[in-house]
Amino acid sequence: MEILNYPFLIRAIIAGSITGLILSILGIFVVLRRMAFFGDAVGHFAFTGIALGFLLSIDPILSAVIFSIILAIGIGYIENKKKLASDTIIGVFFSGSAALGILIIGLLKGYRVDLFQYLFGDILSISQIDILISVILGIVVILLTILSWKKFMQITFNRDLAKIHAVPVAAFDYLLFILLAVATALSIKIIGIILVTALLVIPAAAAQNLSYNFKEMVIFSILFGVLSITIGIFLSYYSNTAAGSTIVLTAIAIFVLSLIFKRYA
Amino acid sequence: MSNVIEVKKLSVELDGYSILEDISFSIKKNEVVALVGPNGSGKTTLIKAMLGLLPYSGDVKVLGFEPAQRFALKDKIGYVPQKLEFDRRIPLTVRELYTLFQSRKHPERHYWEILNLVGGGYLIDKRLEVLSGGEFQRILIGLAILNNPEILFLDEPAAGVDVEGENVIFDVLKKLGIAREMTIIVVSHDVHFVSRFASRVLCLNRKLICDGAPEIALTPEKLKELYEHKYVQKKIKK
Repeated sequence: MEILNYPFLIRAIIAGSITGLILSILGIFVVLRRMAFFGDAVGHFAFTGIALGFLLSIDPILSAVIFSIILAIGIGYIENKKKLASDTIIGVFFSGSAALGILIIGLLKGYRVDLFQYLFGDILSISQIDILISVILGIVVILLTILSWKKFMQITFNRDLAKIHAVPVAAFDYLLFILLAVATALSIKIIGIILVTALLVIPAAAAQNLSYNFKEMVIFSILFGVLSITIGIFLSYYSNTAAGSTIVLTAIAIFVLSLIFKRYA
Repeated sequence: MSNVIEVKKLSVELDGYSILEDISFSIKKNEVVALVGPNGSGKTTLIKAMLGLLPYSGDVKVLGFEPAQRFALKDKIGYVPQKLEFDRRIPLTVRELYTLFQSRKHPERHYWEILNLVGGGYLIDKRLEVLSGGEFQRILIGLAILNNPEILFLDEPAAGVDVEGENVIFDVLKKLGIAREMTIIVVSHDVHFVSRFASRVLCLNRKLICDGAPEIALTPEKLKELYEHKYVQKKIKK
């Protein structure tokens, strides 16, 4: 295949598959716990983190991870302490973070093309080191998710019952927020900040449409996540379109098919 | 017989409102205790305080532990909430749900025994989404007793269930109390059920109004006092 002659595309497919795997697994909890807005907010935290990275001359992905984790924990903390609705708190953090990001960009000198790579994704910029980071962080995220799987599901079913079964609910909420922040930052170079929520939500939502039980939902979600990214990269290569948007549109096509299948199955 | 629950001078305030005031009682092993009272009288709050799900002042001991000592109480208490906040669209089968909450100390297929006990063997591979109200309540009772707890808390287990379903639930609870020697604390609006099923009744309306065997405690005077609104109306912001 001609496409496989390009090392940057092979790197994109490897990093993309890892990202698709992580996002689709975490996406199950995002969808079942109705946290899609939170996922979107984390993407915007990453945007501000990247702008901060440019301003402070540190690695933008690293600053995105750190900034996203701090804000995600902030949301969790305020949610536990105050009586405000979850989406209200997220809305405040979301807009506050976006405003701060735009302000920081205004402070940067000159026109920053590289900043826009993070907004919309750029598979050409994926390096060997990026793949290494994806693999290492990917393994850590997947291991932590597998180890916490039962607790996450108990909380998803019912928080009070989880507490009675001695699950430290707040601690596992924070862990999920941190995993989401790391996974989001990992996927920035491939699909970009603006579209990252799509891969957290769409594969799991399509899987929910087709699954009879939870086991099936996990299998379908992973399958759809990885397929969306690999098919999307292939399609973007042949149609000469932006990889991020092609990946998300591929995921949307899978979601529509799942709806049709659900309707007639 | 030893006390499995001891509550001393328990008070609960939520958002500046006094919900429970100076409640004291103890419950012995194997007792079947019904909590009765009008809407908003604090029954659910009392159960949640005993389970450590709400902040309270006073002293609460469950099997000798404070409710916050969750690891010590983990498999010793079971709970059926009044209204389970749960998204029914989650693709979860009964088998998956029970596997999720079953303690590792039980053999893998222990849930069969529990399902048969609550008359739900045929539901094992059904999705929670498709269960009727009565079936779902039985599955929840099964979930609460999955790890053979010593105390079972039930908050209106028959709410929203038809009469036939109600009878099935009460039969299951009776079996549990007799065969498994479980201490049962149940919130109920149904005075008929209370007099038929409970060995003791605690009447609650922000304060403890009566305490004793149903035939003795539930006098017409006490019922009048219990269901008068004067206590509820006292729930003014401090």
